[in-house]
Amino acid sequence: MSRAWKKVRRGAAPALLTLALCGCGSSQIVDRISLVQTAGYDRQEGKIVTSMLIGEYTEQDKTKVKLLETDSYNSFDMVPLLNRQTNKPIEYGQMKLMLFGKAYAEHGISHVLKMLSRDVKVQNRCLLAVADTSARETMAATADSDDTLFLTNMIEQNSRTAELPGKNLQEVMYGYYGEGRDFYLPYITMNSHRRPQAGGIALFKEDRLVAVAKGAEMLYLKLLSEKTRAGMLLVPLEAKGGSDQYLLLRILNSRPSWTLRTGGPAPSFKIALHMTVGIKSISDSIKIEDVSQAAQMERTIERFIENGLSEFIAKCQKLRIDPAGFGDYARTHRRHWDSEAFYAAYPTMKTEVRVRAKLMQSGTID
Amino acid sequence: MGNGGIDLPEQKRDSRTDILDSCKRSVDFVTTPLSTGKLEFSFSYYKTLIDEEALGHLLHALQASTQAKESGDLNSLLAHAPMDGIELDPDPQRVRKLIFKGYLLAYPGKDAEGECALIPLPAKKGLRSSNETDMEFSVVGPKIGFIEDLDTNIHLLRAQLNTPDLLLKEIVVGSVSRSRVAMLYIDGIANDENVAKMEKRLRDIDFDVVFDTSQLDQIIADNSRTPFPLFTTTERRDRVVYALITGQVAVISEGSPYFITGPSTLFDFFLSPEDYFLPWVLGSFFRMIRIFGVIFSLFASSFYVALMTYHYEVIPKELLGRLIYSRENVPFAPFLEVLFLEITVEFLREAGARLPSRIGQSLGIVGGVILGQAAVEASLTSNILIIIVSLSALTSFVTPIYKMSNAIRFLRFPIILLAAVWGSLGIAIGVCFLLVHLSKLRSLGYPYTVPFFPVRAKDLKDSLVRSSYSVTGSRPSYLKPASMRRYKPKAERRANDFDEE
Repeated sequence: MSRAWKKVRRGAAPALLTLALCGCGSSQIVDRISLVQTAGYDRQEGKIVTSMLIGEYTEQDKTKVKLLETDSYNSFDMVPLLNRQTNKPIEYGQMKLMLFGKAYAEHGISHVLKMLSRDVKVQNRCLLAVADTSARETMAATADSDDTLFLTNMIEQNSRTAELPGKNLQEVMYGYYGEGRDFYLPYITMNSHRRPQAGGIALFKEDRLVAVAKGAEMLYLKLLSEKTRAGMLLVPLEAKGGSDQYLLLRILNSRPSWTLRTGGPAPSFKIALHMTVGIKSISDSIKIEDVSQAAQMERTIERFIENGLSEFIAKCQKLRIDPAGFGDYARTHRRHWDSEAFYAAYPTMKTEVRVRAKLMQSGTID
Repeated sequence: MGNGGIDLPEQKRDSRTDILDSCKRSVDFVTTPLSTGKLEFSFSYYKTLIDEEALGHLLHALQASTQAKESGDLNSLLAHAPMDGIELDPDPQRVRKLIFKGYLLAYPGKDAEGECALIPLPAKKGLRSSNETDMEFSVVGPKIGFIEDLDTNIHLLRAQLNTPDLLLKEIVVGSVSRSRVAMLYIDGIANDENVAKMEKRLRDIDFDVVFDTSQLDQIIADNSRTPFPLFTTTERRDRVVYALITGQVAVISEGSPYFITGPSTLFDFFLSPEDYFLPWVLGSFFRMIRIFGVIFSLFASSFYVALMTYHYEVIPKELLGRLIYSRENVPFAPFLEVLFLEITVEFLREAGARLPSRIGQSLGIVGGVILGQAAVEASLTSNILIIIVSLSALTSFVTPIYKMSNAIRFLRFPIILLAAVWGSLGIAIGVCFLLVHLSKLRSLGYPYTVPFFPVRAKDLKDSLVRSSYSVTGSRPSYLKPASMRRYKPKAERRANDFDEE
């Protein structure tokens, strides 16, 4: 056998093997699959209803939104059941939002969380949220928006510009498995026109929904747990002339700094909040014309936020949930932190909240 | 020296008469008699190789002299010939060689075995006179290129390098063409070892006809199993001069407008003379654009294949709808779709290169605009892919050296195939193979990827970026030049004359 022939054979073997491997590859050509972008779990009369939004891109710049749903007695066979209804195989690698109905969330979402985190196809950046009524209904309400990601975009833009915390799978898993904290998710309600809106924060204990923080509490949770540059707060001012007077505050910059005073059996925290605020709008009758008036206004704002924060912490203590992560802070600042002892003493934990607000000169004050 | 059984005429130990007889078999080889009073002389030459006008001058001068004086021998006759470089009594080998270079053999009587002389009357017909660079065009800077005449080319080089250190060695290559191959280098700059290596490789060549210097490039290359050019091929004078002053050796063969210079590195193919004529900030920017363009050209369509076939997960959600919509009715898998378009582009390029430029233009319109539009409307390809493929075809032409852009366009196809088989893993495998291959390549024994592998930190100042002239005063060290210093940069003058009163 000639040397050249040997060379050909040596080269041909890998080439043939490569061709053979082509057959093994599982290709998912992007226009030959059904892409799930939003999915939901609901609990209805003992059954589990799963639903998903699939986009059909047959028109330029417009997505036809298709809602599929099925019911089952478990949370695991969602994809195979729904796959029976589609003309293209369902793929969920582009899933951006997993929505839980309120009833479902109250029963616990841990097995779904574990299922999602185990599946490599599910993006870590997939958002999770709780729907006030049912996930199916909330998703159906977005069907005429020509956007399968309407809810995702809504949550994302609100968490960027307002108080709503966007929580993706990675962050939720951290909150779920992390010691000394409970996780929370955006809470989507339906308004009177049957339109979904960001309505609050769903507070979880372990994996069960226990309460919903609404209105100003959303901002308080945000102020408490992270640095922020966004958020609005309506501060009622003392009525002089009898009618209600308001001040719409805009948080320009806020930075919480926590101090653990005593870590032991009766923990105590000091929370200092340094913030820069601007006045977005204010009732006409109130005038801020000189420095002393501005200082007085700052005091009023500080008192209001301090009260609000304290009340919110007290509410959490009563519910024995720890969304802000007091336990985690104590754990990282004291040796031999004992989770059980800490949470046994949690309802009686003392917190002192100090707010330093600096009013930036804005258009309404000169 | 047996040459595969073919017995070439020059290898015979012939007498001059034998040579003349073998030449006479062609009708354009003529022997004309010239009789003076006493003696008769014969002039033998190829009338297709000599300059008729010069021959007229010669005969005129000789006749004038014979009328004046009645001397009989060849020497006294030739004393009146109005040209230099006459060779007296050449040996048969020499006759055999020079008769093909436009020389005329003069001998008394009809016997060429006795005293004789070779008179140079070379004709330079059929050579183009325009020497503008048309392949390697530049907007700023000189546009002097080389032509198919060796002596003109060397004249062009000498005109710019006015130093006795510019040395020229001539080697004859080609058993049939007997082409003169000139090797140029600057003594005291080029490494002697490089010069010796290049000379040895050129002398070792056994080849029949040298059409172009780029053939020599392939014959003397360190590795013939690579799509990458291992020597820089250029038709620009400024490039060759720059290569010479950095310590490279330049080679050109007769009848070719292209020089090859070496040892070359990968980055030599991405630098354009313009980089040095523009301010260094702009020069560096354009060089980076070029390198980015090449990377884009290599990987754009294979990434399209990988993303569309395997990794729909990583497509940004804003792009997803558009991508799917554009592919909605395309019946082929992304691999076939890309292959179809890429091959179309290659057809267009190849047809355009073979056609005269006027037809080529209309071909570009037919191919680019009409075919593309029709392919999208017939749902054979997605319009996003048309953008990607035409961009990557465009960016493959940003390399200043045509041979490199060919290599890049060729390499796209295996990477597309790998992407179709293994997705992004396949692209990674392709990149690994490419990097290993590149780092194994040698140009005249020097690593191809220097100054990055092996790292030569000092030479990085003229690689990805073209640094200011105040920094680049020394020659690249990887060429091991005999002297490092090119020029001595002066400190910047920052005086503000406006403020001085």
